[in-house]
Amino acid sequence: MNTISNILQLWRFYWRTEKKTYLRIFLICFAIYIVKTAVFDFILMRISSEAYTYSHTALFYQMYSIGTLVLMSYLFDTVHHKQRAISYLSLPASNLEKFLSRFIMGVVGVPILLNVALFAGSIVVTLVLGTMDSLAGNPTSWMRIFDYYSHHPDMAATYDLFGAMPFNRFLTILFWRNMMVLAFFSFFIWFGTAFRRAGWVYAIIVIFVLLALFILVLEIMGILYDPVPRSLRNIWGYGAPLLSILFTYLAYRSFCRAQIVTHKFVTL
Amino acid sequence: MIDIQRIKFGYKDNSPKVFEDFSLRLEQNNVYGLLGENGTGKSTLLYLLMGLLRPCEGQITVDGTNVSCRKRQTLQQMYIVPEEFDLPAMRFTEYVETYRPFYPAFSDDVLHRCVEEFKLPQDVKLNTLSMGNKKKALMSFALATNVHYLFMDEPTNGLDVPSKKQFRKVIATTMTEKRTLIIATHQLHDVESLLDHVLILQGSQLLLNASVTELCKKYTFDIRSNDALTDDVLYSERTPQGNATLSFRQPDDEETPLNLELLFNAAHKISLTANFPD
Repeated sequence: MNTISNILQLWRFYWRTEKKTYLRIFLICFAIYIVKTAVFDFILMRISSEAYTYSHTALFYQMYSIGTLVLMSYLFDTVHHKQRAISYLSLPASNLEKFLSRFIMGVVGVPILLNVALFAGSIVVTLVLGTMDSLAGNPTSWMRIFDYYSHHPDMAATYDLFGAMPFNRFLTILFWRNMMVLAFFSFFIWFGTAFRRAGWVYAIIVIFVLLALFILVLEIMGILYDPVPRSLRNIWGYGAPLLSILFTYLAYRSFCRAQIVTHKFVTL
Repeated sequence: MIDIQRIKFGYKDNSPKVFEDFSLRLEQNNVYGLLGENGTGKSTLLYLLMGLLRPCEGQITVDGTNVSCRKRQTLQQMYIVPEEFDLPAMRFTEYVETYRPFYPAFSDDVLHRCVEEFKLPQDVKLNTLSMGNKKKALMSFALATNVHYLFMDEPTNGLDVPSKKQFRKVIATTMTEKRTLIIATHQLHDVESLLDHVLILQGSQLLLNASVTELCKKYTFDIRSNDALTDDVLYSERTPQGNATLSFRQPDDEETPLNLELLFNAAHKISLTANFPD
């Protein structure tokens, strides 16, 4: 109970000291959505309808996912700057409280912030395009406001909910998917905490290397082009929560071992 | 009580260690002066005490708790005013509102006294203040936290002459029985009158660890003419006023005030601790 009130106290502290950073992230995300819509969904579509394909939006959300992971890697960036680290690490709160407060803020707060920014961008786009349509005498599609949702990967499962998918299966998919997202988040948080500079670059390199090894193994086994066997899917299904726990623990360990030394390349 | 038990610490694995088999015990209700030449590890020792650095060997405990664990209860009793720091872009009152919830013994009374004594501007953003005023702001907050262990790294750097006087007054009036203050500094004259205990570091070891009472009981610090440089003088150096001397205090001698600079220089030239008469 005491830990919860201490975490709340830390969140109040973050809000007071870092609200400009959150606002900056919100505005950047909002601006990127507007620019993306203006370029892909508006200009390209009007120049050539063929240029407007779903792949643009998919590419945007892939970039958005990578951007979110990069943000995760900066969650504990404070500990890599001497003066900020002195102030933060000497703040009276336990390592666990500091870690949990930031971790929750990262894996819950940041995605919420980014989604709100995208939704706000969607509203602005709808209002602008709707007004232009009205002026041109065209029917206004106010449902465009939900375009953001219809393409957003987080919402894909929700759409299936309204389809034929049984509710249990929907919940299962949503759970495993979130576990997978959490595994990636905690992996990037770990690398960002452990490496003094650009931890996300090392994280991406490691992921690519592991992926390449995985493909190589599948190729050697001769099953690269076969459908993914159910047993392998099950392994991943159970592996994702375990990896989430492992990476979160490693990130916590790196945070606990953080010192105000600026020359260390990595803290494991 | 702070207990440093045989610590070993170095910034890099292959470089010489800043501390090697270093032990020290710091009692409560004392103002310690942590002195030493550049690079002897004064700031490093303060960071180690705060748990911001971790010794390779040995441990540091504060009231029985290992500081490397950085527990909330331990950190609530410690505060460091670093030599260089950044303050956020907020007014002093906002800063106090933001940070004070973390310090249960925070005292508004002490804060107001410090702010008044330092004549601190309160309606200006802290990041726009001069270095001296930033230091006054942070020291005011640090003293108001009422922590048991307060560490100050070069607190008078960047302060003008009147501010140094204010600093001494503020420290003298806000010291409480439970508080231990450790001041790491090169500005010996600025803190001379405040100290209860002197620690001089050199080459990963303690060159001197003695209370001011003990030093003044055993030594005499005075100015002598060339004719008066007798055999009892342990160390002397020429000054415009004459020869500043450090000598064993004889039973009939009056107690003299501590001359920290002379003591510091003497400690580096002669083995003062070894010369302590029983």
